Amino acid sequence: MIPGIFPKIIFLIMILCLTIIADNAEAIDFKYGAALRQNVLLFNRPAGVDESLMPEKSIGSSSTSLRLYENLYWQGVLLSAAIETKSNFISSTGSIFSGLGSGGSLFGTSQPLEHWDATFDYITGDSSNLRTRLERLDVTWSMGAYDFDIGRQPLSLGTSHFVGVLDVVAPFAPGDPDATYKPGVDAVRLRRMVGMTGEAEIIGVGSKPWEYGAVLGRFRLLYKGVDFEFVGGRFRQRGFGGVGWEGGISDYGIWGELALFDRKENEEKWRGGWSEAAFSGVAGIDVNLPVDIKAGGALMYQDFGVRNTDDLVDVYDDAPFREGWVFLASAGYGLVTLHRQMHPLVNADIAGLVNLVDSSTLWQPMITISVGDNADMSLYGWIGTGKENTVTITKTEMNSEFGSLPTGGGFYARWFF
Amino acid sequence: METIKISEVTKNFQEGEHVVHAVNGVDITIENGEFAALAGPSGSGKTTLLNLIGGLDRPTSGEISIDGTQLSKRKDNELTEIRLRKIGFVFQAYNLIPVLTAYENVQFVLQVQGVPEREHHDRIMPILEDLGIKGLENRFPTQLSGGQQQRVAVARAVVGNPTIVLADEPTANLDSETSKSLLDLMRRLNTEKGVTFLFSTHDPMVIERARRVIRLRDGKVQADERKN
Repeated sequence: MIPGIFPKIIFLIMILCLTIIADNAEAIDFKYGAALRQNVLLFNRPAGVDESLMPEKSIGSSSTSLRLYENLYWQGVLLSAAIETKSNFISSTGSIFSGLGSGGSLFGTSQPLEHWDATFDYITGDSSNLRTRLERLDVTWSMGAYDFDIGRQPLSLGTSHFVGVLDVVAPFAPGDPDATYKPGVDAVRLRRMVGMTGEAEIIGVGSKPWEYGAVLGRFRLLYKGVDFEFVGGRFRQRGFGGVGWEGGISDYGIWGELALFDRKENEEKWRGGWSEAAFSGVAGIDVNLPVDIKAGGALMYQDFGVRNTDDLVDVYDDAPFREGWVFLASAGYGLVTLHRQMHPLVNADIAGLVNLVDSSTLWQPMITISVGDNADMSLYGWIGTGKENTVTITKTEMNSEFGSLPTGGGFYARWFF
Repeated sequence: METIKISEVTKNFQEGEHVVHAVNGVDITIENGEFAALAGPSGSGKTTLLNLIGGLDRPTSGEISIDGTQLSKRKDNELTEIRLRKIGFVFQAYNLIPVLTAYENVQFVLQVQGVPEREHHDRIMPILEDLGIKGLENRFPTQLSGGQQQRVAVARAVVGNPTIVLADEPTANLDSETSKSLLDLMRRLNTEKGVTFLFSTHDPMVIERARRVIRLRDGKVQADERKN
């Protein structure tokens, strides 16, 4: 954190914007707004977790985010900015599930690549914190067929499904209820549209130190009703390349992602697969059933994951987990999804992850209700099944990945104004 | 080549004892193949002007012509015919008909135009293929992703070979990523197929993407910027 510099930068930018607006009020376009998100979760102490680590039988957590944004167009350049203040509160100081205290994600949150630490922590406590982060500050302009985008901005790779393997820069954890805004990353992007459906892009993402950043090439193409995305390059000192697809064949929707990653021998154990490169892949299919139910199934495999439960204890020390771009710990998973529009304003979803190594399962039912023109609310739950783990101060014995995850439920509300 | 010529157009509304000059002496020429935006704050007259160009309303004075056809002297049924044959519309939130398949949503325009049914397939399928949604023609809107619905809506707007496609605040109800993809799609059709687009907006992101920005204020053209 560099609170001394951060407010000054913001202040200077605000002065700059106000100066531009004041001097050119007739020639600029300005749009601003805000979004308020509230995520509340209640969950029980997971089975097998010692009371000394989590004294309360049930725990509540709350996360509130206020995001202010603006778009300013002037002289052919679009300046976008967003700043987000987020408060987290958890009713226990002994929780071993820190992610739940910061917004309901069971698997923690990713660490977005950033070169400039534009974060200001007002409160940093065991049970509460309050933080402001510059989430977006980028300029966009076009020059002929080329689009340029420089600055802090959201960046998504891959197909954005419940699970994925391509979104390595700033991914959401599986089933994260608060997936409205991607955390901003410091990036330079050059994009060109190719024909009616193609798009080529070069992306550089900064980090501190620079060598942990990313240099990526991306090509997207729509072919016979299927969107393909090819991505390759280097991130966090690791080469990788992959392909994603999403579209329809006959009456079926298909999607998937495949990727190969360089291994970092000193920072992660070899747990299976090729010695030269680690393979990760997920492939899914969706089908429309009668009574307006859309059902989906997918299989996922990753060389980074464990092949037996004894390794669950230390897999989270491997680089992909520490760096926050891999969240699921085992080698294989099945995914089941069901979606039904119960009413034009009410959608119901169920997602289930089945760990194919230890047979534990994790279920996330969710009902999303549109409660106004600019507001919606989701009621959701987490239910894990499987062999219990033993977690004490002196011993951690893992028998399954999901068997000792907390069962809980909560609501997530969004209001845009 | 001139697609739309707007000459000295005014549109007044009576509000109680006051006359509101929603459009006040506007002169604009839109050339074939342009990708243009009518920009301005709320109340600047952009939606009124778009309605006049689309033949949904009549000017108080002045003349609008599309492909050389003057609108002011046309009867209502003739305006409907012009609207049907010369203008495509992209609506906010797409407005696809839920009980029709993707193919039927696009076909609907040709049916109303009276295009013989034997020609429908040959007219529709190349557009669906261009837009990357061939293979999805038998799906209903609820069975399509947001991006696919977007493409069907754009296919419907261009299938009748309109002179111009009009869009009133096309990104108003969309998040920024979806807005970006809709704009990209329209821009591709413009650069690759030469389709002329005119949209009203006050969204800076849309204005940044437009190749020409016509700024309205108090019903008048305040500035007319063309980008390289």
